[in-house]
Amino acid sequence: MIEVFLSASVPLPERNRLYFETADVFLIREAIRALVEAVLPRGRVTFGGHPAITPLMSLYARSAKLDRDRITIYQSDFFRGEMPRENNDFADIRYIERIPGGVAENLALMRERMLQSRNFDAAVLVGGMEGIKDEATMFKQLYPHAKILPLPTTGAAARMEYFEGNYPPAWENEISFASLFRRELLPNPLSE
Amino acid sequence: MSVYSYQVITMGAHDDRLTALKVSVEKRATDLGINPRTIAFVDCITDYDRKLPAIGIYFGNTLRGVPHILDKILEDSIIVAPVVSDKTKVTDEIPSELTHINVIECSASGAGIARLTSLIFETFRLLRKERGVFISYRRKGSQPLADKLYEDLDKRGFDVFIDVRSVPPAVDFQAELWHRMSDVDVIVLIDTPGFREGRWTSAELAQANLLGIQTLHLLWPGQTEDAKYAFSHFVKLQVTDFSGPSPGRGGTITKKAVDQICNLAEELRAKAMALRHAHLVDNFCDAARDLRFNPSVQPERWISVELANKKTLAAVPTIGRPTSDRINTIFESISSINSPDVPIWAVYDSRGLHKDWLTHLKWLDGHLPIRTISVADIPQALKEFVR
Repeated sequence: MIEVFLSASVPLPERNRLYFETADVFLIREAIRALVEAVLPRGRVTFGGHPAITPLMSLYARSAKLDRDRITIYQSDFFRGEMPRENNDFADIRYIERIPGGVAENLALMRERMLQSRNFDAAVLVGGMEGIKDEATMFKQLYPHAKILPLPTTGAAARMEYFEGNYPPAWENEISFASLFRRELLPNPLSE
Repeated sequence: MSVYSYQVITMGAHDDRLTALKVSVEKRATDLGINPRTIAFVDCITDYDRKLPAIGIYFGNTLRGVPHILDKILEDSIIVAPVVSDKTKVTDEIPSELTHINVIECSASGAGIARLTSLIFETFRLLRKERGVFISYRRKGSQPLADKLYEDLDKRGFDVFIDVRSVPPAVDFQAELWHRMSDVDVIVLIDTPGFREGRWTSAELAQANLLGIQTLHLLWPGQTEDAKYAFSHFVKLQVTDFSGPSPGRGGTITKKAVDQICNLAEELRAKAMALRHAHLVDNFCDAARDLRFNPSVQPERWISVELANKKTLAAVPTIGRPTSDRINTIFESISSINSPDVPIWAVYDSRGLHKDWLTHLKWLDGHLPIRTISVADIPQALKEFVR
């Protein structure tokens, strides 16, 4: 089973304009919908909880009758109370204890635990803000041989990572995300 | 905001057929209440926007020139209609890159122009029954504004579904909502104080997102963005958008603000439609290419795949719920083109569809000469044809 780490968030206009200006909210959602459809039947997706992404993923898991352990969501107790609890039945939600300090310390601990929780085959970067940069850096250190797929058309931090790194030129304008995931993350259909 | 939402990419001869087509498209749009300026004729020299709906038209000519973007258009699985002066002249007027696609016979004065016009409007799903928009609001907070938007969107050729009043008494509202939602491309939320605690629950929001519907989110003055609604397209209403001393329940909204909201609804609708369509067509074509088939997108919006023994598979992308009357229309149009024993697939996106529908589709499969295939199942289903 393929283990995918998803690093995604949706920049809001009120937060950091730097990320919001290039973010394509619709394509961020398309990318997540495609990941769910192309990868979940054959693999597992692990990510840090997000108030808009978590419900979408768990609804899919529920309607596709997937096993609860196909989606693993990490959540810091620092934000406890802000997250909807109705998703627990359809995803494996792991709460990380709150430690002294602020948002930064608590998020760092959550990321560390999340990234060490499985032996990941690939990371998919979608939209996002500062957090994506941190997660990408940590991921590369832990899994130097794993595949990294930043999706530049979703904009924001994923776009920056694409242009800063050494990635295939064909991804620059790619919006057929399901095809991209199938081709990059799943075995070749003719060799199976 | 972009000036237009729908793109007709013109290639080949730029003669009086093109002029006649432009006149015809403008007239048809006006008849439907759609602003003709939202449909742009894009010359093939300039690039097109992949995130907006597009159709290519190649006007046949004896030079049979190949525009440089044709490869990209075909790779992007965009519908291209090759136009000839006479069906016997395909090889004289159409470049070899397009001869695998069914041609349309058309002169500047004949019935061909009307057919091409219909093709454009059907491709962009601009006929009223396919232009669903849903308005959700809190009666206590914005009834007069909801009514105004209903009227204006209706005038612009949308099929508007509004919270309470479109649901007949005794119909289960929640069930009806889930049902209708899968067929609309845009939802307009009027977010007045208290709206978020009302019946627009997180389950409905998640369903809209899973279906790929665009949310035009009108934030009442004082309301702020919320990460739970991060996939919304936010519009912050200002006190100056209302002509009264305060916004009240929205009855005094200015015409300018209503126009802007309706224009945005059109733009988001076009984007949603383009992405929903691309998901079906691109995925199918890519999955077929990965198995070394050679799929062709036909002007009538179906995809042909050559199988062994000169047989053809016909795949028809259906946005939203594949209903039995939609399937019937598909079947009729393909049967007239194909021989009777070819497989026909209705390709649909199962994400976010109600489970009752998925069960119903399985049942239909057993009773119809057509198979419904969800996007996720395409690669496996196509493999059955690999020799």
